[in-house]
Amino acid sequence: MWQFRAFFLLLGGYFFWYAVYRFNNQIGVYDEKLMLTYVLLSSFLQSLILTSRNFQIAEDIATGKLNNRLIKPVNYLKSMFSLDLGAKAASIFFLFFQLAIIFMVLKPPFFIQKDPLKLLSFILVSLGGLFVYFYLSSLISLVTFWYPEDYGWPARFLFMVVNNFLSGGVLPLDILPPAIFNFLRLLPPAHFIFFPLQVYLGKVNNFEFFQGFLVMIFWLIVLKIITDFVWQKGLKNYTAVGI
Amino acid sequence: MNLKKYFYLWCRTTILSLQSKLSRRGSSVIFILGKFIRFTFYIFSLLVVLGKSQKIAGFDIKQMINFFLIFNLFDLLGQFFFRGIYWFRGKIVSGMFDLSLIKPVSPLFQVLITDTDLLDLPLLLIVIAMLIRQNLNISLINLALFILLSLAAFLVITSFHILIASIGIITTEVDNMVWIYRDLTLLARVPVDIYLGSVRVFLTFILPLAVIFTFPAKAMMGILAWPWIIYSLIFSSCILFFALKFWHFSLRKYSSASS
Repeated sequence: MWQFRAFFLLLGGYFFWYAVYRFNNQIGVYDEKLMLTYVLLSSFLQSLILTSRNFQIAEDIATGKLNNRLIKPVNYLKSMFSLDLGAKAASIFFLFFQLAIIFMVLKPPFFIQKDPLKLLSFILVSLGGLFVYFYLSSLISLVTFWYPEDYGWPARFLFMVVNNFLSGGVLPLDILPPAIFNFLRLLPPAHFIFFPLQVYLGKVNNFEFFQGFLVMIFWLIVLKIITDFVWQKGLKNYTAVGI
Repeated sequence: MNLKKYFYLWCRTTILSLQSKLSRRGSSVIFILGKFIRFTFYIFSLLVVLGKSQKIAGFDIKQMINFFLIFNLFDLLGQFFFRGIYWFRGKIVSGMFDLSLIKPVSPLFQVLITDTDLLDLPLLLIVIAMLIRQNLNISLINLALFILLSLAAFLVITSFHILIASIGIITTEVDNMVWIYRDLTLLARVPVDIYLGSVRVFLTFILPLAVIFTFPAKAMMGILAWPWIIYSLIFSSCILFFALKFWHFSLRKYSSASS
């Protein structure tokens, strides 16, 4: 059923932009082909990067199940990352069928990047985005150490709402007014969907790529340090409420 | 049906729901804030896209904003009144639904509207205020048609929720059905007219989101043809009749498992 939902959401986004381009040739710097490519590939990046089991961290903390995890001889956050990878693999597996149906039935115009260097860069920044998301998402769940109400869902809900927009999941960020775009592209969410797709679509030159890549590395390091710090602090605050 | 009794019961359960929300003030504030942010982001995105394009399917910015506000109005109304459906699966799989069946109150009423979600109320009021501000010059006939089609829309929303609850009794799949319904309704944030022929037909006749979201908005703007008004009224009555029949059919299939 979750996969049905994902499929309907993908179709919804596709049909919306398809309809918009029936009446316009160009929206910002995007023609129909580039925009539909953006929509279809953003579904891939959502499966690869935004699919996560990190909400379970909050549930474990709020229900006290974390006790059971802590006594096992494995690093908790690393084990959550393994779970994450499994969820992503399953999501990508089902997405493959969804995209196959869309390509066979709707035959959308699709931009194929033929430059191997750009494809490699796309894979590199996508993987970078995956790690940045893991730490950011974990950090949101760790808030539950201090605020266990509703199993951490309020903070997660707020994060999902904001992230959906700031990652470029609703529309490409460079359609927004320049002042807003220049600010948003420096934030971590921009590296989940928008930046990798800019690389794939060949919309960034070498300088912009390295600039974006360095910003991503900066966030990766900062978020890793903060997450480790908050995890240690949180454990000291943890009282196993719920057990 | 004793309307006075049911209205009293709704008021009581709504007060209980409010007390529950107030006991978790922090969470409630964050959820309300999240809903505001989501609404603001979407309306901002719509303005950005429309600002960069010509009219879409003949609709200008003001009309598209009207469609979006009407979408939010009915989407929020559905969530405001029928939030109870989101917790229905738990009652089915645990057998707790037995307790609803033995009470001298319609079980359907208990399933649908005994958990009013007051967290949707602030945004609902803002959407209504924006709609009024956008349409101060509406004619009386358009206003009357809008109210009439809003009632039809609400009947269809109610019917969909009854159908979901009924399917839930038979299959125990409720949560995902609700979310699929809500995901599909996202297609109606814009008028169904902008979609390709087959999608438009689907959204008008098969899963008639047009009846819920597009037609009332068009009626308000005075651009809805009469045949669609008649279609909305007939369809909403028929689907409510069918949904109630299906509900009674599904009740006979309830196995009271786990109780």
